[in-house]
Amino acid sequence: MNAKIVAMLIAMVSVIALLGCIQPSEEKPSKTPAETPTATPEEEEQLAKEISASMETPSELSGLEEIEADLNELSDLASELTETEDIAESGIDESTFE
Amino acid sequence: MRKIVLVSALILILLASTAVAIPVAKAPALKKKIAALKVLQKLPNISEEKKGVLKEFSAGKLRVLSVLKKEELKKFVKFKPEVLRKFKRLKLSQFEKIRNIKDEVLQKISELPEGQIKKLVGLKAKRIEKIAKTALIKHAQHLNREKLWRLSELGDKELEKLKNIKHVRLDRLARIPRPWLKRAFALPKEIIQSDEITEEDIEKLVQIPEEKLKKLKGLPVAKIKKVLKKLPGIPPAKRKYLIAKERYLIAKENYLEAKERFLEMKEKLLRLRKRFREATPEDRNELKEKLINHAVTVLTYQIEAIIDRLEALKEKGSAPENVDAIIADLNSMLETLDQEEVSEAEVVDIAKRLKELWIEKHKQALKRVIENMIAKLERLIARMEEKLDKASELIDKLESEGLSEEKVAKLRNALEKFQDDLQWLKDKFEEAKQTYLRLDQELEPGEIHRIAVKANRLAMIAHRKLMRDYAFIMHLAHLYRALKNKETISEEIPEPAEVSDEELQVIAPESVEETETTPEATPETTPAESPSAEEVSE
Repeated sequence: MNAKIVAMLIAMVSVIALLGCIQPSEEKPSKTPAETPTATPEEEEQLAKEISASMETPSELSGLEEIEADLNELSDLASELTETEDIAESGIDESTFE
Repeated sequence: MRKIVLVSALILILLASTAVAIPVAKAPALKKKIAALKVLQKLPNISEEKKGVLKEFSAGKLRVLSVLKKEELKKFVKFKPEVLRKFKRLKLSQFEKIRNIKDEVLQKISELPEGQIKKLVGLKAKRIEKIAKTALIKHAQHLNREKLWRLSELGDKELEKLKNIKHVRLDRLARIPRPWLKRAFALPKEIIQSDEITEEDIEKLVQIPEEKLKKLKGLPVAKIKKVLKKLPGIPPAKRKYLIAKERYLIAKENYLEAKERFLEMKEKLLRLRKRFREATPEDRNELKEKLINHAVTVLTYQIEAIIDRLEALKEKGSAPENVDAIIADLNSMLETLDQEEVSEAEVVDIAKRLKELWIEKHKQALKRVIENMIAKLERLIARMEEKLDKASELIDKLESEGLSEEKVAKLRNALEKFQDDLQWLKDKFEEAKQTYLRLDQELEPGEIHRIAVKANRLAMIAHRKLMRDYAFIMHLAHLYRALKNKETISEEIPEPAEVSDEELQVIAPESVEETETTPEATPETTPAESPSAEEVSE
């Protein structure tokens, strides 16, 4: 009976040890360029078109980059307004050394 | 005979003038010698060569070293003489920074040539630490300060991709502005390190939406290059803006660091003064010398903070008039504090001059910031108004492209809300310009500060509202693209930011000195719906 329990325990420990040895499967690495099937010129053209389309801005909204920059600058200016003149006062005067 | 008399007279005059000149020149030199002796007294066992190098240090640096404890001093003097020599030409504040840097970091930096050390200490201490502890240190010699600043923004995982990268390649990659560089380093190592893909190509790559980028990343480098060639270039204005913004951030970062050190040193000075006042007459002499040395350090950081603040204001076009002359003047003050021994009267005089100068220049700068803020807001409101008008045309276009009647009605409803909201902001802004935003009068520093508090509140609220307008317009742009490319997009339409009249009101303090009211810092709000708006906050 005892031998059975010992045998079972050994078996369980072995299984656990074996499981521990198995590395968790890593995320599948992305294909290296060499393994990737090469695209035909037509496919390249198609992909370029797709990408351009996904980034296209309607003509009515042209100039949004400038608004983006202006918004950012407004935020910087607001933060400049938070600066007080506290670096003017060093606390040093005639009484410092008396 | 006459000739002999003439020559004798000349020799006499020469001797007399030398006798007068020597004591005048000797006084500071003697003080410098005393400071050097004090340093050397604490280090009886260092080599003659090191002693020689220490004596070459300027009076200011010897003053800094002379007040250090023996252990602190040992840590600094452990370097070889040729390394110590690299530190002697640093600015006083840079020297202070070096002295405060962690031991292992300083060890790595000390191996760099003198010019490179100077460049590196122009950055914030935390960045220096990061550069010293990562692969960046190997490239530090080949990169300028701005590039090092950009690269030190990257995380450890991104920096791992720098392994075995060539200096030339990294130098080119580091030209990419900060927000794009972070995204660039998320690309596969093969792309980052490939010489075939230029930095312009990488800038294009990081603009591409993720799902399209996935397809592209799977192609061989040569093919990626071909596809990128077919894509339109990035508007130069966008890049120019990001680079200018970085220069501002570097100056501002240095200012905040110098300000922190200045306030810290000021606190220490006040404590030392208290000790000096309570000291016995025997201890007073020694404490007084310490007090003067400490006061010089306080002034050094104060000047440094003022210079960095002026540099940041310059980048924003808000600096006071003749800013370069002011900076030159401040630099010469720093030089005086470093090179010469200063008396207590001179210390007091410099402190007074600095106070007067900064109160006046800060007032001028604040006025310019408010003026720039008004101009920026005027421009933004006009542009946003124009864009919302155009948005109406775009909704018509969406309708003709097949967007459902129900969705079109919702968009029109939202557009109306945004237009009403912008009108509210426009009215409040006009009101402000007629009342508290009037700068055409002679203003006292306290008054200008009160205006700044209100202007800050208005700018913040305007920013919050205009960001929502921007998000709405971006939502329309996404809808347009989604319809054309048959993609799905969130149904949720952005709403205007809610701001009450009370929130806009700021109770102006009667006297700025009497109250704790400080203007509110602008939060970096970004509408989540709009990926492009993310950049706005960067």
